[in-house]
Amino acid sequence: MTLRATAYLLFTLLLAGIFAGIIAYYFNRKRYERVEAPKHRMLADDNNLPDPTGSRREG
Amino acid sequence: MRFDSLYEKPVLFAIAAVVVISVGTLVTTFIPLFLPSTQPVSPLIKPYSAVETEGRDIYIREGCNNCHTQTVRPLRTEVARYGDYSRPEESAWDRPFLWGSRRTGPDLARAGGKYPDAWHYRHMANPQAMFDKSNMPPYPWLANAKLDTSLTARKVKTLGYGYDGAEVARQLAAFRQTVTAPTYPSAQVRSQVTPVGLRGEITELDALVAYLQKLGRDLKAAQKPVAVSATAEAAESKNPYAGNRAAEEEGEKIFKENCRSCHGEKGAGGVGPNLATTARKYGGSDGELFDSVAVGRPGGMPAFLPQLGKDRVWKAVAYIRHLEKERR
Amino acid sequence: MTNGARSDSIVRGFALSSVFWLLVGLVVGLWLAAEMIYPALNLAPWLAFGRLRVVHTNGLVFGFAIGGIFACSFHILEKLTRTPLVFPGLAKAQLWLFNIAIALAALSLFAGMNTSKEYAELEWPLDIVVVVLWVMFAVNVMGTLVKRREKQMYVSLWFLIACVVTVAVVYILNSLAIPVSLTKSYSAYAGVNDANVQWWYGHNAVASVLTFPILAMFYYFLPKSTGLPIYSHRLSIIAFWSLVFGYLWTGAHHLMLTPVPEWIQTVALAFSMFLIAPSWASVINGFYTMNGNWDKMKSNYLVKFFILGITFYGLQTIQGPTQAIRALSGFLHYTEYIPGHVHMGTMGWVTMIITASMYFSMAKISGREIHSVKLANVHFWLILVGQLLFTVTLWIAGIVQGAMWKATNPDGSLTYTFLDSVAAMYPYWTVRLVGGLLYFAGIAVFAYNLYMTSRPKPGTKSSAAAAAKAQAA
Repeated sequence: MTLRATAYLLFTLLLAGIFAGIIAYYFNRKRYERVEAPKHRMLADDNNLPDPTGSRREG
Repeated sequence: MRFDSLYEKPVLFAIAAVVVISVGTLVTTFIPLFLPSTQPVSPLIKPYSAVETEGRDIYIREGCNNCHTQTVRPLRTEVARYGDYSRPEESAWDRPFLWGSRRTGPDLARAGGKYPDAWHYRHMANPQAMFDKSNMPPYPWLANAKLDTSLTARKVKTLGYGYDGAEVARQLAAFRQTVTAPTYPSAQVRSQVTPVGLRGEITELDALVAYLQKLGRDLKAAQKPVAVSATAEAAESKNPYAGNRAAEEEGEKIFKENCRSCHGEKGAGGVGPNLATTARKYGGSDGELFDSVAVGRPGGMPAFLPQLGKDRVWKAVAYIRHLEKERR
Repeated sequence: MTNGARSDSIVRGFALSSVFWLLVGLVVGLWLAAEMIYPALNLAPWLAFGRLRVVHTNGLVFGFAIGGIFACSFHILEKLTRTPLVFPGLAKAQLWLFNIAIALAALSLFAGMNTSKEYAELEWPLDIVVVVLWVMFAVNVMGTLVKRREKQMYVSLWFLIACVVTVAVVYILNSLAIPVSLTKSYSAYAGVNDANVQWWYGHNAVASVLTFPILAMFYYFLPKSTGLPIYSHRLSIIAFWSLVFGYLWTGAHHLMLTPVPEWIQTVALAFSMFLIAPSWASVINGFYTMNGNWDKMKSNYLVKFFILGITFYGLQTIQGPTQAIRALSGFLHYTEYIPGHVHMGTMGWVTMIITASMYFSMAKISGREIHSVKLANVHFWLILVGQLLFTVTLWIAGIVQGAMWKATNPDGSLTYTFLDSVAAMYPYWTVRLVGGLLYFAGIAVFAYNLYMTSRPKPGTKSSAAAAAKAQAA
């Protein structure tokens, strides 16, 4: 195998590895609630935004 | 740091996004900028002349690249239709590149030298007069505008074409002399489309035509020896369709589609010479006529062999013979 | 301002400006479609095809799409951060500058001041204005995000950030040029490199303008208009990063079989294939969100816009990579198939999502119901049928054209002249014009309906909020 072909292969494997790692991390059950929380919070009523002078942070 | 806290830090998130988009950018776009193999330079491909530079800018201004490509792909039918495939060296002087993305009209990478200037003057003024099914828009106003050369010297300098303002002035004067001279081969058609007041000047159309004639010219010049050896028939060969009435009729159809726009109805002449005659510049034997059609002649007769094939070229020759007879 | 949104008037301004430029861009498009059939319509330099085509694409990408993105982004931003826009004055200035810039852009392109680089045709002084506009936008987006009151950022905000940074990077790098006068410049790159940089930009303009922010709208407005949470937020995390990573590699698939180095083409092809995965992750997310609630397609007038929109996005992201395959690129590239592909994306996916998002946010900020659900339905069907007629016709036309270009006789000579292939297109171009007219009629209905919805309702803010809430349910 030429150097070039090896480099291509290693790079592809590296990308596949990172990809698999990200999936494994986020699809881990212990992170489920934290990762999925924003999709429920975004549905909450947002018609009344707090006053711009306030500095309360929720969540 | 936990990875999912990234979604709580917008600035960090933005930086992460920049890093992620940079990887592909670096590899496919940035690094190739510094590899000489991406844009090789060949001494055979010359920079544009002053007039060609201005013509190119008119091509850009009018957005010709929206309908015409300038890159022939290495595909058999494409090479047969347009000519040899495009090489990276050919684009070395192109800022911007003009390869285009859509062929509403044909590719122009090999347009240079294919037709005489007169063809372009007539075609730009009224394409439908030459090809009634064409949807090429007419651009009659280009001949009504004097070419603005006030920036030419600065343009050439910016583009690094390697000649100075004095040379620009010399080239412009020489070009003006050429196109306005009565001996200019396309003088008659040029004066038909150019208003009286501008016949002594360089018009925008003159510059555009000069640019179109440059496209692919240097590559063709470099390859000339190859083209000559590809001549397909010897002067003494005989037309297999000589006197064949059916072949002459088929030849007439081929003539109407491919030859009429230049050589006129029944070969009476136009941009190209009168064909209904026995007085022929390049010889009147079957073999010589075949060569004229198949591999073309200097001054704007294109090569039709790759497009039409031997059989149909012979049929076209049979029809030209028929025109000769009709004439007598 | 107790009920919050500082951006209401700005959102309204951007939305109506965007729709105005949409109408202008489409009229130019119709003129072009007619000019394809009747070249005599090339009446004057300012109406010549080559200049008009650029006005059409720039008007719709920068006037309509970017305008719509500004409108919806400000709305989404305030809602998802539960924070008013940090610099409303800056946003107001941005609205003015935006409209002045688009008007100047259109005039300069009509006048032929044009760099020829597709979707980056504006000459350098206007490029600078575009960059200034983008910085104004970025300052408000990032500022509001930093000040936000919601701890985690929802997926729409990620796509918004990706849009902000990617547009900045690709637009600036591709537009680098050496000026020779106020209205003329030459690209900083030559030949093959210029082509490579241009299509890296061209493809990522599609990504960062016509994909990322439109996905942001999709991920926000589909749940908001149905009350259903998105199916999987973590799937969208995977999709987001792989999409943002993969897109930047694929520019050279616009340059298959050209003098661009072969390895760049091959890498682009490989990543184009890869991109199907993250694109379809969003499609799946959309479809599964509706799981068990498909009746809303009928009961909620907005849902069909979003679902059809994401369906066209799905088709688009399958069709695109297949066009990159060398053999198919050799057959289809440069034919009418490609405009067919592009118009499914813009008329199907982008316009479906932006117009529906505008209905929703406009109703919300004006505190009234949409002016007419019936008209919205008419708008939907007209743009759907118009777009399908337009795109399917062009796909067929492209295949016919590609086949004619490739047809050979037994002796290897070509069967058809180029002109034969032009003559064969006229029936298709006529149908395309009809499709365009139907589509335009749909957009005209939309413009009227949105304008009627946008008029501020006389009455109190609280009634406005209640009405908006009822409408959301």
